[in-house]
Amino acid sequence: MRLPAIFRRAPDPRAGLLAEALALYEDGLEIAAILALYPEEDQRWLRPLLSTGQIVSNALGDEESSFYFEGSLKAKVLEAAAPVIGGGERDPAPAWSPAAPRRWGMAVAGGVALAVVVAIGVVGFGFITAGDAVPGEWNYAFKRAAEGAEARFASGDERINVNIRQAQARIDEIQQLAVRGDLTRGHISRFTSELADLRALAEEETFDSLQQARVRGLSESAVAVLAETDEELAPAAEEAIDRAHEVAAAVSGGGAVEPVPEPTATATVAPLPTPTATPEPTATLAPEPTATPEPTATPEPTATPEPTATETPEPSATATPEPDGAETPDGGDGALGIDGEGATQPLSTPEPSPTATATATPEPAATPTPEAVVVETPAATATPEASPATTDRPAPATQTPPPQPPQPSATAPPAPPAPESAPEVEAAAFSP
Amino acid sequence: MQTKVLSELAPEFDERRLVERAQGGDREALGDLYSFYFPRVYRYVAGRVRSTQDAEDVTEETFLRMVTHLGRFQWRGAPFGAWLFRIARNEVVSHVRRQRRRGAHAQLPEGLSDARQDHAAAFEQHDLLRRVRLAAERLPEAQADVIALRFGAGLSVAETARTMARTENNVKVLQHRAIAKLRGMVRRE
Repeated sequence: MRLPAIFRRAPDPRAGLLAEALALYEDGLEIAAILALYPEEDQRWLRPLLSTGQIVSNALGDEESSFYFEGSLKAKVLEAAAPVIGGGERDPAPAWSPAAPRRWGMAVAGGVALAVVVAIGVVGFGFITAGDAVPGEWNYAFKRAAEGAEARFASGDERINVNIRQAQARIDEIQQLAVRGDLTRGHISRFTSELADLRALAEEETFDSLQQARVRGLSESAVAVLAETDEELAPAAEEAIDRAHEVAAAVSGGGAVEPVPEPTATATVAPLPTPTATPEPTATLAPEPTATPEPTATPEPTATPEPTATETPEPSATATPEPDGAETPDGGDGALGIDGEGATQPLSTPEPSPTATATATPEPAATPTPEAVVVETPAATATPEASPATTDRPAPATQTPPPQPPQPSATAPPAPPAPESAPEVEAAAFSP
Repeated sequence: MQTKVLSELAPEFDERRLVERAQGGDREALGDLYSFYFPRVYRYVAGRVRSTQDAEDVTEETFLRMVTHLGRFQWRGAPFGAWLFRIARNEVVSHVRRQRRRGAHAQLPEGLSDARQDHAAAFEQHDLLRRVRLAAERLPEAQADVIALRFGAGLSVAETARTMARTENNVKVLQHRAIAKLRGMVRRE
């Protein structure tokens, strides 16, 4: 607060002059030159004051601090500035504040939500595209997971269908992997375990005809796919094939799997009589062990007949032509002699004969039984004789034994229709 | 005498801009401010305390306080230098009061300045400084301040007036009386 002018003391004029003279000195003028600007009266009191000012100025103005002190203090100041003053070279990240946690929380929540959405998308995409996945593909795990869930929630009849479907999926995978050359023992054993599950299921549940047919189809697929595996995988493949056959048999409730026998037995029997001429044919019959399906089996096979039914016609047809084989008067079935390939066909052919069986059955109920014994390849030779014997000729038996053994398994089935074809086959057999 | 208006000493020295940058965290700007004001503040403090050690302590306190409160500084007519010297003056006053309570006496400088080779001249300089300091101690607070600000820090009468929150005439009178008293003391010493 400034005092009114009347109360203000007028500045000492000498104070003003001294300030003016000191300002000139600060500007670099010499004291003598400055004093020369003032009247002599003023110079007298001004000179000693200017000199004192000069001394004080020199004393205080020339004082310098040590470099070390100046430098270290500068460092201290800059260091102290960091936490006090914001920005600069410091990390621009905002200091902690109550709002910070909220921002972090939002960021984390957003990240988690995004991750969940992405995960759902990936899982969904995985399940959608997993249908045809094979082991080694990124979405195969999804396929297995889906199968696991399906099996877990299925029950009763549906459970059987699920197991069959999954076993079929395994064999499909094996087929694809085999084409790629990526098949391993693990893949086959996975299929084997599926078969084991199926077999266990067969002991608990009853498979309807359709399911039985599927299992048989599965078994056939296994044979077709696994038969071509490398040597390394052969053991596993063979085991899988055996399991597949077992399962097919178990599902069918016994020898159903091998419908082969029935036909051969009955069918052959009938024609045989005529071919009696040639003993050899009997030999072929022997191997057909197919007889295994023993008598009881015969009726069941009727279920499977479906396939055979179609085939049956053929055999009969072919039979007739071949007969001309000249050798056998009957000529009928003998045509089957078809050596090699025909092997399988003959087996089926007999089935069609169901009609024939009808006729045959009446004759000798005994015939079937003997065959049953024959079933086993080795003994086959012996037994066959029996059968033929019953029919007509015992002689052939003696001849057939030796050569037949080798053919058994594979060719066995074809043989049945034998009587007529026998001649050809045996001819070949003997020659070597 | 090297007392000149700041703007004359460094025409390119845009104090306001520097201060704003320093307040924004610019360490370089802060360093420039420090470099510009350190010698002035130190000389002012050295003219008010008894020893170089005390001058360093007070100077350090002054700059650290400056950094602490730099964010709160606002341009309200008074220049940054006036604000800084007011801090220094408060520190000096506090220091002087503490020393008086302790009954301490002024000591000769402990050592010679590192950068000087002429030890005889240095000794004379220190002796002169000692005498002025002793004489200044006998001056009233305001007069001692004017002497330190005018001849130590090199502030003009106007700047000193702003720093001391007094009128220029008042500063001129204080300056005149202080020098008149020192005249006898310095010479007598």
